[in-house]
Amino acid sequence: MRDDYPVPDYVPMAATGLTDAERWPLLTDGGRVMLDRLRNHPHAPHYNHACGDRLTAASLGRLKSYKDTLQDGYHGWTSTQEPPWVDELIERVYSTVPRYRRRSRPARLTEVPTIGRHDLLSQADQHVPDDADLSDLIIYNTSGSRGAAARVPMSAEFSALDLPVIEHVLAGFGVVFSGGPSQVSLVNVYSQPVAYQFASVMSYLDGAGLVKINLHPDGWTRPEDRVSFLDDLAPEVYTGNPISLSALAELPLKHQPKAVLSGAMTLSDTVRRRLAERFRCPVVDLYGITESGLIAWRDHDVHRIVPRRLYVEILDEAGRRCEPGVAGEITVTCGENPMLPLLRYRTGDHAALDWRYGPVLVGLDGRAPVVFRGADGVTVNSIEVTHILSPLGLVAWQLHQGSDGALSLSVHETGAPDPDTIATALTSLMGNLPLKVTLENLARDAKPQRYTSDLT
Amino acid sequence: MISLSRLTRRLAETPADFLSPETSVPAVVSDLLMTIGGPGLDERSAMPFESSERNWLRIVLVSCWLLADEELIARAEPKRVLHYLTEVLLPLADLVDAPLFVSDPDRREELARLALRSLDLLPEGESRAQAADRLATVDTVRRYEVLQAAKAAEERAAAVRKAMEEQRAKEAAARYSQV
Repeated sequence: MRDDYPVPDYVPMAATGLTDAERWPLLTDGGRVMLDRLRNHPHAPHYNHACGDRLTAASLGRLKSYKDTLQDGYHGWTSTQEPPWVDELIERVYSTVPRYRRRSRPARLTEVPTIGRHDLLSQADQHVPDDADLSDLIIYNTSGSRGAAARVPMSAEFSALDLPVIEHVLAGFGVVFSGGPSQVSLVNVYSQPVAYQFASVMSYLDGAGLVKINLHPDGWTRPEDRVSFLDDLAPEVYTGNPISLSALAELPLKHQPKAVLSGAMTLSDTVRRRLAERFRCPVVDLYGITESGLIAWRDHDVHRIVPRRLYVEILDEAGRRCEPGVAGEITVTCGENPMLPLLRYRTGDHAALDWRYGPVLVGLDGRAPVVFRGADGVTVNSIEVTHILSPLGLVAWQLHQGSDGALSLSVHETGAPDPDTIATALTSLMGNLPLKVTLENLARDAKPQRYTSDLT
Repeated sequence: MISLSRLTRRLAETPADFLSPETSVPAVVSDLLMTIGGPGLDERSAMPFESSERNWLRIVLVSCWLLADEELIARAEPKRVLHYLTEVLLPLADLVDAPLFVSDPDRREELARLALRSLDLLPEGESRAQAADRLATVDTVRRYEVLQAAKAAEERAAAVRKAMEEQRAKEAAARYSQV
């Protein structure tokens, strides 16, 4: 681990606060054996965090029945009809969410004002309902790939909603988890200078193992441990992002997973095909946001919307609904995160809505990664830049690399630290390149293109 | 239509007897009820007015003086009067000292407006909406409720912020996909 990396949250084990009994209320003897195996594995990474599923019997029961709901595949809405639960959600939000409480309740969803990411997350505490049980509250720090890094409140049960959704998506590709305490079912792969690494088990999959790892060699005793560890674990499924999965594909792994799931940024067809050939299994692009969970998965040329209690509108810049087939901003209404119910939340991502045996997103324009060239020719992915600039509390920025390699960074002036601090952080990642940092008002551009390069 | 200024002037001129602890409240209330054509208090209905809520009893006396205004007497109904003296004035007694309803112009206006609303009468020159609006600007109980709600909201917000900062929240729970 690099000592000079300016991300204080990653000090090993600094963010832990629970006992194992609190991490896994439903831990079985088998699950304990799996956990010990993962923790004491001779090739294990340098774990710097501990994290359980925190699921109780009641929440596990609800998640299992949620799986049946998903299987029914009923969205409950069409291009002309909102889902039946929308009125109740509006009522609930306007009567229990501090941010909305003093406003009069609109009669229809279309009259509810939309809310953007910065607006919501800069005062997330004002969005936690009055009747939410704060002992269930957990905080997830977003990477800040779509704006300033932010803290998203949620519950452990909501976090685990991913599992039935992933099961539902994988079933469409003929993939079924075996689970059980002798099986590692998921390895969540990152590849960046620092990231949390931890071993866990999932009561939802009967005590199956889960590991979150960072492929960066600094996180391991020997670089070759990565292959020994992963081949020994033989996980059923890998999850990651296009950058981390590409790094995974470079390793001389022998194990073949049942499926690979990619998220967090746009997965190009080229990368998807390359990964599918490498791992000889389905590679599925997932689309979601931390605030509301998984929204859609790639099915041929579209992203199919998950049949959750989640409603998607596509809005134009003026906030009017776009006709089916017309691209606009993906806007989500969803009450499933008990700590952050969302009414018309503008995601910042763009697509058109269409119908192919259910609602689909067409032409999803997520967050495309950009590759920069650091000093001495090393490649630096935009997510790493995001990672190093986010802790500085910048609201927005635009980084451009010219054809001569010189960097120019424009930072939104509000709340920005002095340019020297920013320059030092960026130089620690990119090395000594010509760099110009300016403070500007970036709010003029509704969706500033964060990363651009003349070299790619 | 009743002249509000006449009522507030009447309150300003409340005789000292109506603020005196020596005055028999059940007797005054009973007299008022009979003056407006109802039965007086009997042993049972007099009981609340023998309570030990001294401030409330003093406000009841001031209000009886107010309601003894000629025009009000002509239009008041005993049931409404009793409701006013008990349900409306009791919460007020926790918040305002009785003499202020005589000495303070805003409190005089508040008491007069509350009486008119209770008797289903409007101040001269005001629509129902205007009357409700103006009462809201001097309504002590309502302002207290708003303040209480604001205080509760502040306390909850502080609890939420604290929960968000706690180590058990920061440890979070495992996530299974990247979004």
